[in-house]
Amino acid sequence: MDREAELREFVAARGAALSRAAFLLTGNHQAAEDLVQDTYVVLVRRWQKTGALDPEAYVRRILFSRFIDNWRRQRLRELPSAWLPDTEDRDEFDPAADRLTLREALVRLTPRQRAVLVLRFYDDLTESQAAEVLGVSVNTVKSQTRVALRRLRELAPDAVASFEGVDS
Amino acid sequence: MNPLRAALDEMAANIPVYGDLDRAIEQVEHERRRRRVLASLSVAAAVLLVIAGTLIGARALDSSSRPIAPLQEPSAAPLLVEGPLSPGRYRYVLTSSCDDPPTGCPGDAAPPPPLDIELTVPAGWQQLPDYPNVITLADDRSPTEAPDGAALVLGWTNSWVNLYSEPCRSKGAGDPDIAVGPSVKDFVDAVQAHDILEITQPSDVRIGGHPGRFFTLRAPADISGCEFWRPWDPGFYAQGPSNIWDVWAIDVDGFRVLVVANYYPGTPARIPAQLREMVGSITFRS
Repeated sequence: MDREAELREFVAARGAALSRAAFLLTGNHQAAEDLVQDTYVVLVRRWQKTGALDPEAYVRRILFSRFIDNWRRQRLRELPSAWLPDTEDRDEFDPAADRLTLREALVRLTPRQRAVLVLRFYDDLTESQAAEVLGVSVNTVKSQTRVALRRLRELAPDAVASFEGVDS
Repeated sequence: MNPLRAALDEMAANIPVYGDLDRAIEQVEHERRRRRVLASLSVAAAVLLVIAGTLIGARALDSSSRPIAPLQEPSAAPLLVEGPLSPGRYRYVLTSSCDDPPTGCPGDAAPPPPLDIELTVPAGWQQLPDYPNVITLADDRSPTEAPDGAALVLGWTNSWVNLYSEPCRSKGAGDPDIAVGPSVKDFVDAVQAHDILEITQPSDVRIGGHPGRFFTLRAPADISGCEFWRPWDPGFYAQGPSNIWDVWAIDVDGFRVLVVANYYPGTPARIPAQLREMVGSITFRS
Protein backbone atom coordinates (compact mmCIF):
# COMPACT_ATOMS: atom_id res chain seq x y z
CA MET A 1 0.00 0.00 0.00
CA ASP A 2 1.43 3.43 -0.84
CA ARG A 3 1.96 5.98 1.87
CA GLU A 4 -0.96 8.21 0.95
CA ALA A 5 -3.28 5.22 1.01
CA GLU A 6 -1.97 4.32 4.48
CA LEU A 7 -2.59 7.86 5.63
CA ARG A 8 -6.13 7.80 4.27
CA GLU A 9 -6.78 4.49 5.95
CA PHE A 10 -5.52 5.81 9.27
CA VAL A 11 -7.65 8.96 9.05
CA ALA A 12 -10.71 6.95 8.02
CA ALA A 13 -10.23 4.70 11.04
CA ARG A 14 -9.35 7.34 13.61
CA GLY A 15 -11.02 10.51 12.33
CA ALA A 16 -14.18 10.05 14.37
CA ALA A 17 -12.29 9.48 17.62
CA LEU A 18 -10.09 12.50 16.94
CA SER A 19 -13.17 14.58 16.28
CA ARG A 20 -14.76 13.53 19.56
CA ALA A 21 -11.59 14.34 21.50
CA ALA A 22 -11.34 17.71 19.72
CA PHE A 23 -14.91 18.54 20.66
CA LEU A 24 -14.35 17.59 24.30
CA LEU A 25 -11.26 19.80 24.35
CA THR A 26 -12.69 22.85 22.65
CA GLY A 27 -16.34 22.63 23.59
CA ASN A 28 -17.58 23.91 20.26
CA HIS A 29 -17.92 22.59 16.74
CA GLN A 30 -16.07 25.32 14.87
CA ALA A 31 -13.02 25.23 17.12
CA ALA A 32 -13.00 21.43 17.01
CA GLU A 33 -13.19 21.46 13.22
CA ASP A 34 -10.25 23.91 13.08
CA LEU A 35 -8.24 21.86 15.53
CA VAL A 36 -8.71 18.61 13.64
CA GLN A 37 -7.91 20.28 10.32
CA ASP A 38 -4.80 21.86 11.81
CA THR A 39 -3.78 18.46 13.15
CA TYR A 40 -4.21 16.85 9.72
CA VAL A 41 -1.96 19.46 8.13
CA VAL A 42 0.82 18.73 10.63
CA LEU A 43 0.25 14.99 10.23
CA VAL A 44 0.48 15.18 6.43
CA ARG A 45 3.74 17.16 6.63
CA ARG A 46 5.22 14.60 8.97
CA TRP A 47 3.82 11.62 7.11
CA GLN A 48 5.45 12.75 3.88
CA LYS A 49 8.81 13.17 5.58
CA THR A 50 9.22 9.98 7.51
CA GLY A 51 8.44 6.33 7.20
CA ALA A 52 8.75 5.45 10.86
CA LEU A 53 5.83 6.89 12.74
CA ASP A 54 3.45 5.61 15.37
CA PRO A 55 0.48 7.51 13.98
CA GLU A 56 -1.80 6.91 16.93
CA ALA A 57 0.58 8.39 19.48
CA TYR A 58 1.80 11.08 17.12
CA VAL A 59 -1.59 12.38 16.10
CA ARG A 60 -2.76 12.50 19.70
CA ARG A 61 0.32 14.49 20.65
CA ILE A 62 -0.31 16.94 17.79
CA LEU A 63 -3.97 17.36 18.65
CA PHE A 64 -3.39 18.09 22.31
CA SER A 65 -0.30 20.22 21.90
CA ARG A 66 -1.90 22.29 19.11
CA PHE A 67 -4.91 22.82 21.33
CA ILE A 68 -2.81 24.12 24.21
CA ASP A 69 -0.48 26.11 21.94
CA ASN A 70 -3.38 27.79 20.17
CA TRP A 71 -4.83 28.80 23.48
CA ARG A 72 -1.48 30.13 24.66
CA ARG A 73 -0.98 32.11 21.50
CA GLN A 74 -4.38 33.65 21.86
CA ARG A 75 -3.92 34.45 25.54
CA LEU A 76 -0.39 35.77 25.11
CA ARG A 77 -1.91 38.62 23.22
CA GLU A 78 -3.91 39.52 26.29
CA LEU A 79 -1.93 39.34 29.49
CA PRO A 80 -4.10 38.47 32.46
CA SER A 81 -5.40 41.34 34.45
CA ALA A 82 -7.98 40.75 37.13
CA TRP A 83 -9.12 44.34 37.40
CA LEU A 84 -10.16 44.63 33.78
CA PRO A 85 -13.85 44.14 33.04
CA ASP A 86 -14.06 40.85 31.28
CA THR A 87 -17.58 40.58 30.01
CA GLU A 88 -17.15 37.74 27.57
CA ASP A 89 -14.75 35.44 29.34
CA ARG A 90 -15.89 36.03 32.88
CA ASP A 91 -14.69 33.19 35.03
CA GLU A 92 -16.47 33.98 38.23
CA PHE A 93 -19.27 31.64 39.00
CA ASP A 94 -22.01 31.95 41.50
CA PRO A 95 -23.20 28.43 42.23
CA ALA A 96 -26.32 29.69 43.91
CA ALA A 97 -27.39 31.65 40.88
CA ASP A 98 -26.68 29.11 38.22
CA ARG A 99 -26.10 25.44 37.63
CA LEU A 100 -23.80 24.48 34.83
CA THR A 101 -23.95 21.39 32.73
CA LEU A 102 -20.86 19.26 32.58
CA ARG A 103 -20.07 20.65 29.13
CA GLU A 104 -20.32 24.23 30.33
CA ALA A 105 -18.19 23.40 33.33
CA LEU A 106 -15.56 21.70 31.18
CA VAL A 107 -15.06 24.73 28.98
CA ARG A 108 -14.39 26.81 32.09
CA LEU A 109 -11.41 24.70 33.01
CA THR A 110 -8.01 25.74 31.77
CA PRO A 111 -7.05 24.02 28.53
CA ARG A 112 -4.43 21.96 30.28
CA GLN A 113 -6.90 20.78 32.91
CA ARG A 114 -9.38 19.85 30.20
CA ALA A 115 -6.69 18.05 28.25
CA VAL A 116 -5.68 16.06 31.31
CA LEU A 117 -9.25 14.97 31.99
CA VAL A 118 -9.85 13.92 28.38
CA LEU A 119 -6.60 11.98 28.22
CA ARG A 120 -7.11 10.28 31.57
CA PHE A 121 -10.84 9.63 31.59
CA TYR A 122 -11.84 9.57 27.92
CA ASP A 123 -8.77 8.16 26.19
CA ASP A 124 -8.03 6.00 29.25
CA LEU A 125 -4.33 6.82 29.30
CA THR A 126 -2.20 6.28 32.38
CA GLU A 127 -0.74 9.28 34.17
CA SER A 128 2.65 8.70 32.59
CA GLN A 129 1.15 8.31 29.10
CA ALA A 130 -0.83 11.52 29.56
CA ALA A 131 2.32 13.26 30.80
CA GLU A 132 4.15 12.17 27.67
CA VAL A 133 1.43 13.44 25.35
CA LEU A 134 1.36 16.83 27.07
CA GLY A 135 5.11 17.10 27.59
CA VAL A 136 4.75 17.66 31.33
CA SER A 137 5.72 15.70 34.43
CA VAL A 138 3.60 12.95 35.96
CA ASN A 139 3.24 15.14 39.04
CA THR A 140 1.78 17.91 36.90
CA VAL A 141 -0.76 15.47 35.47
CA LYS A 142 -1.69 14.38 39.00
CA SER A 143 -2.06 17.88 40.35
CA GLN A 144 -3.93 19.16 37.29
CA THR A 145 -6.34 16.22 37.50
CA ARG A 146 -6.99 16.92 41.16
CA VAL A 147 -7.58 20.61 40.55
CA ALA A 148 -9.76 19.94 37.50
CA LEU A 149 -12.01 17.49 39.35
CA ARG A 150 -12.32 19.86 42.28
CA ARG A 151 -13.21 22.70 39.92
CA LEU A 152 -15.82 20.55 38.16
CA ARG A 153 -17.39 19.76 41.51
CA GLU A 154 -17.62 23.48 42.28
CA LEU A 155 -18.97 24.42 38.88
CA ALA A 156 -21.40 21.62 38.20
CA PRO A 157 -22.27 19.90 41.47
CA ASP A 158 -25.39 18.29 40.01
CA ALA A 159 -23.60 16.84 37.00
CA VAL A 160 -20.64 15.77 39.08
CA ALA A 161 -22.75 14.05 41.70
CA SER A 162 -23.05 11.12 39.36
CA PHE A 163 -19.33 10.51 39.33
CA GLU A 164 -18.39 11.34 42.89
CA GLY A 165 -15.56 9.13 43.96
CA VAL A 166 -13.59 9.50 40.76
CA ASP A 167 -10.15 10.70 41.66
CA SER A 168 -6.76 11.09 40.14
CA MET B 1 -17.37 2.07 33.22
CA ASN B 2 -15.88 5.07 35.00
CA PRO B 3 -18.83 7.47 35.47
CA LEU B 4 -16.82 10.45 34.28
CA ARG B 5 -15.98 8.50 31.15
CA ALA B 6 -19.67 7.78 30.67
CA ALA B 7 -20.48 11.49 31.02
CA LEU B 8 -17.78 12.42 28.51
CA ASP B 9 -19.03 9.71 26.14
CA GLU B 10 -22.49 11.17 26.34
CA MET B 11 -21.15 14.64 25.57
CA ALA B 12 -19.20 13.38 22.58
CA ALA B 13 -22.01 11.29 21.17
CA ASN B 14 -23.29 12.33 17.73
CA ILE B 15 -20.28 14.54 17.05
CA PRO B 16 -19.69 14.76 13.30
CA VAL B 17 -16.36 13.74 11.82
CA TYR B 18 -14.34 16.91 11.43
CA GLY B 19 -11.45 17.68 9.13
CA ASP B 20 -10.77 17.27 5.46
CA LEU B 21 -7.68 15.25 4.62
CA ASP B 22 -7.73 16.26 0.94
CA ARG B 23 -7.64 19.91 1.91
CA ALA B 24 -4.75 19.25 4.30
CA ILE B 25 -2.79 17.45 1.57
CA GLU B 26 -3.49 20.29 -0.84
CA GLN B 27 -2.29 22.87 1.70
CA VAL B 28 0.95 20.98 2.35
CA GLU B 29 1.55 20.67 -1.41
CA HIS B 30 0.97 24.40 -1.81
CA GLU B 31 3.48 25.13 0.96
CA ARG B 32 6.00 22.86 -0.69
CA ARG B 33 5.61 24.58 -4.05
CA ARG B 34 6.06 27.97 -2.40
CA ARG B 35 9.21 26.80 -0.62
CA ARG B 36 10.61 25.57 -3.93
CA VAL B 37 10.04 28.98 -5.51
CA LEU B 38 11.65 30.72 -2.55
CA ALA B 39 14.58 28.30 -2.66
CA SER B 40 15.08 29.01 -6.38
CA LEU B 41 15.03 32.73 -5.69
CA SER B 42 17.54 32.28 -2.88
CA VAL B 43 19.88 30.33 -5.15
CA ALA B 44 19.62 33.03 -7.79
CA ALA B 45 20.34 35.70 -5.18
CA ALA B 46 23.31 33.73 -3.88
CA VAL B 47 24.72 33.37 -7.39
CA LEU B 48 24.37 37.10 -7.93
CA LEU B 49 26.09 37.79 -4.62
CA VAL B 50 28.97 35.49 -5.52
CA ILE B 51 29.38 37.17 -8.90
CA ALA B 52 29.24 40.61 -7.29
CA GLY B 53 31.70 39.55 -4.60
CA THR B 54 34.11 38.18 -7.17
CA LEU B 55 33.99 41.38 -9.19
CA ILE B 56 34.50 43.56 -6.16
CA GLY B 57 37.29 41.33 -4.86
CA ALA B 58 39.08 41.39 -8.19
CA ARG B 59 38.78 45.14 -8.38
CA ALA B 60 40.05 45.73 -4.87
CA LEU B 61 43.04 43.41 -5.27
CA ASP B 62 43.22 43.41 -1.55
CA SER B 63 45.14 40.43 -0.24
CA SER B 64 44.70 41.30 3.40
CA SER B 65 42.80 38.71 5.38
CA ARG B 66 39.17 39.53 5.98
CA PRO B 67 37.55 39.00 9.34
CA ILE B 68 35.48 35.89 9.35
CA ALA B 69 32.21 35.96 11.24
CA PRO B 70 32.51 33.67 14.25
CA LEU B 71 30.51 30.48 14.08
CA GLN B 72 27.75 30.42 16.64
CA GLU B 73 28.31 27.88 19.35
CA PRO B 74 25.22 25.95 20.37
CA SER B 75 23.66 27.56 23.39
CA ALA B 76 24.17 25.91 26.76
CA ALA B 77 21.50 28.05 28.41
CA PRO B 78 18.46 26.05 29.53
CA LEU B 79 15.02 26.90 28.22
CA LEU B 80 12.83 29.05 30.43
CA VAL B 81 10.51 26.84 32.43
CA GLU B 82 7.35 28.01 34.09
CA GLY B 83 7.49 28.93 37.75
CA PRO B 84 10.23 30.49 39.90
CA LEU B 85 13.63 30.76 38.21
CA SER B 86 17.02 30.30 39.83
CA PRO B 87 19.29 33.22 38.95
CA GLY B 88 21.14 32.49 35.75
CA ARG B 89 21.09 32.53 32.02
CA TYR B 90 18.03 31.23 30.14
CA ARG B 91 16.83 30.78 26.62
CA TYR B 92 13.46 31.43 25.06
CA VAL B 93 12.65 30.37 21.51
CA LEU B 94 10.62 32.98 19.68
CA THR B 95 8.56 31.39 16.96
CA SER B 96 6.20 33.18 14.67
CA SER B 97 3.52 31.87 12.42
CA CYS B 98 1.62 33.40 9.57
CA ASP B 99 -1.75 32.20 10.79
CA ASP B 100 -2.02 34.46 13.80
CA PRO B 101 -5.03 36.69 13.27
CA PRO B 102 -5.86 39.51 12.99
CA THR B 103 -2.86 40.66 11.01
CA GLY B 104 -1.26 37.54 9.54
CA CYS B 105 1.80 37.87 7.34
CA PRO B 106 2.01 40.52 4.67
CA GLY B 107 1.25 39.03 1.27
CA ASP B 108 2.84 35.66 0.79
CA ALA B 109 5.69 36.35 3.21
CA ALA B 110 7.10 33.37 5.05
CA PRO B 111 7.24 33.60 8.85
CA PRO B 112 10.60 34.53 10.38
CA PRO B 113 12.74 31.56 11.37
CA PRO B 114 12.78 30.55 15.07
CA LEU B 115 15.00 32.86 17.09
CA ASP B 116 16.68 32.06 20.39
CA ILE B 117 16.57 34.92 22.87
CA GLU B 118 18.99 34.43 25.75
CA LEU B 119 19.07 36.55 28.85
CA THR B 120 20.29 36.59 32.44
CA VAL B 121 17.55 36.47 35.07
CA PRO B 122 18.32 37.73 38.60
CA ALA B 123 16.89 36.23 41.79
CA GLY B 124 13.23 36.73 42.58
CA TRP B 125 11.68 36.27 39.14
CA GLN B 126 9.53 33.61 37.52
CA GLN B 127 8.28 32.62 34.13
CA LEU B 128 4.60 33.38 34.38
CA PRO B 129 2.78 30.02 34.19
CA ASP B 130 1.06 29.55 30.83
CA TYR B 131 2.84 32.61 29.37
CA PRO B 132 6.14 31.29 28.05
CA ASN B 133 7.57 34.65 27.04
CA VAL B 134 6.61 36.60 30.17
CA ILE B 135 8.90 36.99 33.19
CA THR B 136 7.35 38.47 36.32
CA LEU B 137 8.13 38.88 40.00
CA ALA B 138 7.98 35.49 41.68
CA ASP B 139 6.40 36.56 44.93
CA ASP B 140 3.51 38.56 43.52
CA ARG B 141 0.07 36.98 43.21
CA SER B 142 -1.06 39.49 40.57
CA PRO B 143 2.32 40.21 39.08
CA THR B 144 1.41 42.36 36.10
CA GLU B 145 -1.19 44.56 37.74
CA ALA B 146 -1.27 48.09 39.17
CA PRO B 147 -0.07 49.66 41.35
CA ASP B 148 3.32 47.96 41.51
CA GLY B 149 3.43 45.01 39.11
CA ALA B 150 6.24 44.41 36.65
CA ALA B 151 6.88 42.07 33.74
CA LEU B 152 9.38 41.53 30.99
CA VAL B 153 7.74 40.45 27.76
CA LEU B 154 10.20 38.79 25.43
CA GLY B 155 9.97 38.86 21.70
CA TRP B 156 6.55 40.11 20.95
CA THR B 157 5.67 41.45 17.57
CA ASN B 158 7.33 40.73 14.29
CA SER B 159 7.03 42.12 10.83
CA TRP B 160 3.31 42.48 10.75
CA VAL B 161 2.26 44.59 13.71
CA ASN B 162 -0.39 47.21 12.97
CA LEU B 163 -1.62 50.07 15.17
CA TYR B 164 -5.08 50.94 16.38
CA SER B 165 -6.03 54.56 15.71
CA GLU B 166 -8.13 54.34 18.89
CA PRO B 167 -6.29 52.33 21.58
CA CYS B 168 -9.25 52.56 23.98
CA ARG B 169 -11.10 49.52 22.80
CA SER B 170 -13.85 47.07 23.41
CA LYS B 171 -13.88 43.42 22.42
CA GLY B 172 -14.84 42.78 18.83
CA ALA B 173 -14.22 46.43 17.88
CA GLY B 174 -12.28 45.51 14.76
CA ASP B 175 -8.77 44.93 13.56
CA PRO B 176 -5.89 47.39 13.85
CA ASP B 177 -6.43 50.00 11.17
CA ILE B 178 -3.03 51.70 10.78
CA ALA B 179 -0.79 49.62 8.56
CA VAL B 180 2.87 49.58 9.56
CA GLY B 181 5.81 48.54 7.38
CA PRO B 182 8.20 45.77 8.35
CA SER B 183 11.22 47.70 9.65
CA VAL B 184 12.06 49.00 13.11
CA LYS B 185 11.93 52.52 11.70
CA ASP B 186 8.47 51.91 10.22
CA PHE B 187 7.17 50.84 13.59
CA VAL B 188 8.79 53.55 15.69
CA ASP B 189 7.83 56.28 13.21
CA ALA B 190 4.23 55.07 13.20
CA VAL B 191 4.03 55.06 16.99
CA GLN B 192 5.63 58.49 17.13
CA ALA B 193 3.22 59.87 14.53
CA HIS B 194 0.19 58.43 16.29
CA ASP B 195 -2.29 61.10 17.39
CA ILE B 196 -3.03 59.56 20.78
CA LEU B 197 0.00 57.55 21.88
CA GLU B 198 2.45 59.54 23.99
CA ILE B 199 6.00 58.32 23.93
CA THR B 200 9.43 59.61 24.85
CA GLN B 201 11.81 60.70 22.10
CA PRO B 202 13.07 57.44 20.54
CA SER B 203 16.79 56.82 20.86
CA ASP B 204 19.24 54.45 19.21
CA VAL B 205 20.25 51.36 21.16
CA ARG B 206 22.10 48.11 20.59
CA ILE B 207 20.85 44.91 22.14
CA GLY B 208 22.96 41.78 21.77
CA GLY B 209 24.96 43.58 19.09
CA HIS B 210 21.87 44.35 17.02
CA PRO B 211 20.67 47.89 16.31
CA GLY B 212 17.34 49.11 17.56
CA ARG B 213 15.31 51.99 18.88
CA PHE B 214 14.09 52.57 22.40
CA PHE B 215 11.15 54.57 23.72
CA THR B 216 8.83 54.63 26.70
CA LEU B 217 5.07 54.66 26.32
CA ARG B 218 2.66 55.35 29.14
CA ALA B 219 -0.99 54.33 29.21
CA PRO B 220 -3.43 57.05 30.31
CA ALA B 221 -4.05 57.48 34.02
CA ASP B 222 -7.74 56.86 33.48
CA ILE B 223 -8.68 54.00 31.24
CA SER B 224 -11.85 53.16 33.09
CA GLY B 225 -13.88 53.98 29.98
CA CYS B 226 -12.05 51.35 27.94
CA GLU B 227 -12.75 47.67 28.04
CA PHE B 228 -9.05 47.49 27.40
CA TRP B 229 -6.37 49.88 26.22
CA ARG B 230 -4.34 48.35 23.45
CA PRO B 231 -2.11 50.29 21.07
CA TRP B 232 -1.16 47.61 18.53
CA ASP B 233 -1.69 44.06 17.47
CA PRO B 234 -0.26 41.50 17.81
CA GLY B 235 0.47 42.76 21.30
CA PHE B 236 -1.09 43.01 24.69
CA TYR B 237 -3.17 45.52 26.53
CA ALA B 238 -2.23 47.90 29.34
CA GLN B 239 -2.33 45.98 32.57
CA GLY B 240 -3.56 48.98 34.54
CA PRO B 241 -3.82 52.79 34.53
CA SER B 242 -0.53 54.62 33.96
CA ASN B 243 1.07 51.34 32.93
CA ILE B 244 4.58 52.16 31.65
CA TRP B 245 6.07 50.24 28.74
CA ASP B 246 9.77 50.51 28.00
CA VAL B 247 9.91 49.32 24.41
CA TRP B 248 12.97 48.09 22.57
CA ALA B 249 12.37 47.55 18.85
CA ILE B 250 15.36 45.60 17.62
CA ASP B 251 16.43 44.67 14.13
CA VAL B 252 17.68 41.10 14.35
CA ASP B 253 19.04 40.17 10.94
CA GLY B 254 16.21 41.95 9.17
CA PHE B 255 13.43 40.84 11.49
CA ARG B 256 11.87 43.26 13.92
CA VAL B 257 11.70 41.96 17.48
CA LEU B 258 9.95 43.84 20.26
CA VAL B 259 10.91 43.46 23.91
CA VAL B 260 8.80 45.28 26.47
CA ALA B 261 9.46 46.00 30.14
CA ASN B 262 6.16 46.64 31.82
CA TYR B 263 5.78 48.44 35.18
CA TYR B 264 4.04 51.32 36.99
CA PRO B 265 4.97 54.62 38.59
CA GLY B 266 4.43 52.83 41.91
CA THR B 267 6.79 49.95 41.14
CA PRO B 268 9.89 50.14 43.39
CA ALA B 269 12.77 51.65 41.38
CA ARG B 270 15.00 48.60 41.75
CA ILE B 271 12.46 46.53 39.76
CA PRO B 272 12.55 48.52 36.49
CA ALA B 273 16.34 48.61 36.94
CA GLN B 274 16.39 44.81 37.04
CA LEU B 275 14.13 44.67 33.98
CA ARG B 276 16.57 46.92 32.10
CA GLU B 277 19.50 44.79 33.21
CA MET B 278 17.74 41.71 31.88
CA VAL B 279 17.19 43.44 28.55
CA GLY B 280 20.84 44.55 28.50
CA SER B 281 21.90 40.92 28.90
CA ILE B 282 19.93 39.71 25.86
CA THR B 283 21.67 37.97 23.00
CA PHE B 284 20.06 36.45 19.93
CA ARG B 285 20.78 33.27 18.02
CA SER B 286 18.96 32.36 14.85
